[in-house]
Amino acid sequence: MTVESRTLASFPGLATLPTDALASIASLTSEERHRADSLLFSEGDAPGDLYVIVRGHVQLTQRFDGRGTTAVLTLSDGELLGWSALLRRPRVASARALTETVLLRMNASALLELCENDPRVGHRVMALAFEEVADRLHATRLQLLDVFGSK
Amino acid sequence: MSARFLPRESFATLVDALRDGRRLLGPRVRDGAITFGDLEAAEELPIGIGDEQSPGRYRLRDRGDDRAFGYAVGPTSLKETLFPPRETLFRAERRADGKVGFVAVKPKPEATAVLGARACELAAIGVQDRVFVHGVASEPRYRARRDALRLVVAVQCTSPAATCFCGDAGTGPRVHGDAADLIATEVDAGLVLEARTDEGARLLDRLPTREVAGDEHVEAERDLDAATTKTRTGRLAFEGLPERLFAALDHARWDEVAARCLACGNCTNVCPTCFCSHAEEAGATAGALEGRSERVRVWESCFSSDHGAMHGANPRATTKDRYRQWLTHKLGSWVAQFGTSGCVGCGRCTTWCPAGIDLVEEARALDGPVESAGSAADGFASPVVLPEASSAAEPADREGPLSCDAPRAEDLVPRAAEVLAITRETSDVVTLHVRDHGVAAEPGQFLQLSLPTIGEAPISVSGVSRAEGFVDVELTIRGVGATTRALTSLEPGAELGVRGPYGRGWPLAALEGAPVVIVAGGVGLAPLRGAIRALVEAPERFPDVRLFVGARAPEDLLYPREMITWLERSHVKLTVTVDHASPAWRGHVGVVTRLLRRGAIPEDARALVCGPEIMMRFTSDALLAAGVAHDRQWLTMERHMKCAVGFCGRCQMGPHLVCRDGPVFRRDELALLGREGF
Ligand SMILES: Cc1cc2nc3c(=O)[nH]c(=O)nc-3n(C[C@H](O)[C@H](O)[C@H](O)COP(=O)(O)OP(=O)(O)OC[C@H]3O[C@@H](n4cnc5c(N)ncnc54)[C@H](O)[C@@H]3O)c2cc1C
Ligand code: SF4
Ligand code: SF4
Repeated sequence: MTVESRTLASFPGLATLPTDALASIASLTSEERHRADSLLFSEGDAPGDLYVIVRGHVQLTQRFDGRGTTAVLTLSDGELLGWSALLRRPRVASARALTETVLLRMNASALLELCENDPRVGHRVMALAFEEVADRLHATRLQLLDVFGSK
Repeated sequence: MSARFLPRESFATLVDALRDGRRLLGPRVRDGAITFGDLEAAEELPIGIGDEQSPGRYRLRDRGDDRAFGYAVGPTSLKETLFPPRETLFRAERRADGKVGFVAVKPKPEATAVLGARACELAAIGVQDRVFVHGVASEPRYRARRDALRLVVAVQCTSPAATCFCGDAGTGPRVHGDAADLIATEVDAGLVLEARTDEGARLLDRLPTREVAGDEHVEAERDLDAATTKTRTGRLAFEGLPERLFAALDHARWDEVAARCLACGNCTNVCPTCFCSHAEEAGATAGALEGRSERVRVWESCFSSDHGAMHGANPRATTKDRYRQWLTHKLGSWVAQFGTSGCVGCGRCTTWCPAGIDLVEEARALDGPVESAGSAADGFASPVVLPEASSAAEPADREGPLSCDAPRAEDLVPRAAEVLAITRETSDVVTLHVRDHGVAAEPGQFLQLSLPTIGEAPISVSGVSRAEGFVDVELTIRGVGATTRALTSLEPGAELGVRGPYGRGWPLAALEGAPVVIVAGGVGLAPLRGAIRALVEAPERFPDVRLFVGARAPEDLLYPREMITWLERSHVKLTVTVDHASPAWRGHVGVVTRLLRRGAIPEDARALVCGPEIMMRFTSDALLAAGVAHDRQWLTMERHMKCAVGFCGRCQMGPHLVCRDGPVFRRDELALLGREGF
């Protein structure tokens, strides 16, 4: 299913992009629907696409040698999924839909090319991803503090 | 009443009249200093002895005359008498029926007279009265000793030391009003006496006095004027000092003074107004209550590392934090807490400091323009707003339920209660179901739970059901240290001691009609459960309730079964998140603050938050970013606590006493939240 600029503009961070830029991103974006429990990608997979969650819950898990697989983060409405796509790196975590989930999928190579050619869009997209990663880093620090643990 | 004169030869008649059926306390020389103690004869007075005092130095000297009151205050004061350094509060013992009984230990002080109290000393008693008699509660042991001080003869000071500044503090050297029954001023030939009460007048009538000669009157006034001039040093302006000190929390001077301070606590020991205390179990063999056990109260200094320490955290970890606590409390937040400065200008802390730290000098240095130590750069620009003294003195006017309106007697003795049942919540948390015969707690209030021979701990009430003649309370406890571990190992049928409820609870009335956001972390759900139950049961008053619960792992979540019943209510939304989980966990993983930024928070919401302090700080920031202003957020604070009614001084957090002003605070009252050293 193709996506209209309006849909993209409803996400904070993209809302202020000029209409032509939104239209260009929309042209490389499609909407996907996943059933509960479907695997979206796996840790170690080759670089893939970038997603925005429209609706639903997505669980990220990572394998830790000797400690098994651990759920590290749950993402939901409005959040960015799979930011490693922007770095063309293999997937750092596996993603599974916990509920029925609607995603916007952005073709990563096309998006990177657009960013390259149109620095306004490039700056905005990178800023958006950077903010998301910074938030997660901060949250991870709190998680590491183990604030509820036995001190 | 007109003044009379008692010649020096007749001082013995004064001592005898004061001792008539009473214990007499007065000045005498002991261990190289003039100290207050039992006085049996006029010859024991420090006749012809004076002193020299300077920072870190005290020396007796020969005055070369025969004055009996020609000295400045020594290391002791009437504090030792009214608030002894060590005293038993109660005994716990097995009664004939096999149950535990808690028996108050109360002093039966004999009628006492005082000779030679100075104006600063009387002012200090007035300050301690505000703590022990006119606070949220009144301490019967202090009260009994205070009431036993029947007859006080003050001798106005005409020999102030270099360390004295009672004139700046506004407490001396003249004694005003009826702070004493009889006021004396010593001149060469004897004492000019003036009765200020009927009791004083009766005493005066019994003495072989004569009229005051004109030159004696002139001499007395001249000496008093000179002492006034000397003690008005002009070095320290008390007016506005609390605000100025709290504006200087980042001053570089704190580091400098901390480098000199030995954290010995001498200053707090000799200070006539310092009141902090510790409570410990004594006379007990650990374990079962075989013989008896006693709880003993001992003086504690804010310079000790234990003073503020909690399990796993010490809010005032360094000497700098502790010196800043002492000075900002003494000269600053005391005013907000008790309506008076904590300093009467006696200079004892300066004289008896082995490092010669001069309190006035330090306060002066801090009083100037702020030279930042650089730590201000950590983003705490918001000024500390000190609560109005009047509102702190009348806590009944404040929001939320309070344990009492007028000071009631609080003897710190628990009542016996029984464990009915136990619910194991997680590997280290249990809920005790306890039958108590006290008053039912409001959500957010707490009880002091006691185990004889082991100790006492403040625990929030996590559920209450009232019945005719008793209250069943739920207490959710995490076993972290000696007392809480023993509490979590109790069996049904076990007995424990209970005091309270204490403190200010959640402001349920202020939440009515608005969307309510509740954020709980870990065992922080326990103090919130009573409030949540009230909101869940009253959709007409609280139509929109959003709960966010965070825990370390799914197995650490409290009350999972009860949570499911909350979810069944259409006005309640519940989101649970954990820090770590196996992939089998279907709920959220991630810190609770991430849930709050997802547009889940209506801007007109009111929020209640409880959890570890750092989690509350980040939650509060996230709520603010979502549009919930600080005056619509409430947090509950944890600090070291011994008494729960403002007597022990342990739960200080900047201007607040957490037991009395909290534990629930509106966020805008907590300017110091997250700031190191408080
Ligand atoms: C208002 C309030 C409500 C509380 N509610 C709960 C609750 O519902 N459930 C729960 O599990 N815990 C609660 N706590 C924390 C609980 O009081 C402490 O864990 C407990 O005092 C630790 O005592 P301990 O003897 O087991 O530990 P130790 O580390 O052996 O403590 C020694 C002494 O230090 C003091 N102390 C240590 N930690 C604290 C602390 N955190 N707060 C106050 N004094 C402390 C106590 O006087 C204690 O006797 C609350 C604390 C406060 C201030
Ligand atoms: S702070 Fe120092 S000068 Fe002030 S009352 Fe206490 S001991 Fe005296
Ligand atoms: S200020 Fe002086 S008396 Fe007080 S703790 Fe420090 S060294 Fe000891």
